[in-house]
Amino acid sequence: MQTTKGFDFFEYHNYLSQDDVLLSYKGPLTDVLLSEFSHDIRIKLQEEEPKVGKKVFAIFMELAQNVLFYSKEFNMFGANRDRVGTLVIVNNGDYYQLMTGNLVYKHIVPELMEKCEKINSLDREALREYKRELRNAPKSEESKGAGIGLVQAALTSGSQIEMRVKEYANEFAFYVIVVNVKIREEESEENKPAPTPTEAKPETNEAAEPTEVKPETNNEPTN
Amino acid sequence: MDNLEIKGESGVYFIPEVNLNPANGHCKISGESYLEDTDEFYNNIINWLETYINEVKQAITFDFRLTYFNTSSSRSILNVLRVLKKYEDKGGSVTVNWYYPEDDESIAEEAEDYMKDTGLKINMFAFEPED
Repeated sequence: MQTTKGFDFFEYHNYLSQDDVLLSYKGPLTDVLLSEFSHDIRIKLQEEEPKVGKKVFAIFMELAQNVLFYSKEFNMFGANRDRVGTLVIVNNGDYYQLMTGNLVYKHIVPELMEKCEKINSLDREALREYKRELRNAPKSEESKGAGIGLVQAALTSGSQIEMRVKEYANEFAFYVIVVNVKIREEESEENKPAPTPTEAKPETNEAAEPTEVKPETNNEPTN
Repeated sequence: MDNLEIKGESGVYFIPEVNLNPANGHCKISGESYLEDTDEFYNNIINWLETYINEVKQAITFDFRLTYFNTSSSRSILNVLRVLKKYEDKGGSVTVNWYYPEDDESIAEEAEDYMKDTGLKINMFAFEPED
């Protein structure tokens, strides 16, 4: 059963209901929502591997706060003008993959790209230096935090930051950040190439937890 | 001069527990720090310290026992430490103790970085985090 132009709701719902999707949200972000999500992440991941869970939590907080502070897409909910973004966390077996996406002005993209490339070019010690340098500098005008969230994400995850940008015809671009956190710490293989999301998984009806849609229907497409 | 006491709280934001005692100069911040207005929160602590430094003029022992703080808080903590370093440079007696969860090297690393940034000596102690 399809709704509009090839959008398959059941496929969409199935995709989000897979075990490996820990969080998937697109919409207005508020501090209250962020706290609910982060609480959820903590509870879920603490049981398995507390140390890794804490890393995912800390990185999520930094990335989500960046969306909350800087997204250029807005949504009106009553009197509130909330910033809109997309937050996804998946478990692809080897990594927890944290992904955030939001609109930015096109003209800022080169600066974001440069920062990301710089982060990825530094080893751990140099990255700590860079963080200290940024933290010691006076706050930039637009900055609402410390301006070191991405650097901290790279430090905490111990891996490279992936940045993807899609430019639109207007003055905006869609800006995506991907951070991978190794699920099992023992593995010492550093700088493994960034993983791609796993494909098909057995369908399950449970595990449909933190998504924005929670219909009471069955997961199975019925045509 | 009054104590500065802030009750720790974990809700939409994480407010660390704060206890600054002018009677013995013992200051303590513990818990988790992720705040709605980070500058305002830490400026309260900085203002208290500056009053203490100007009026009480006695030794300060500052214990940090944080299990999580966001980068915004980390910038503010640096500002607190800078105030302490300035007091030390002017002849004040300052002891900074940094307690970090033994399984969290990033919090230990923060103390090392703060030492480099401020030139302040920070005593580091690992502790076993309770669940």
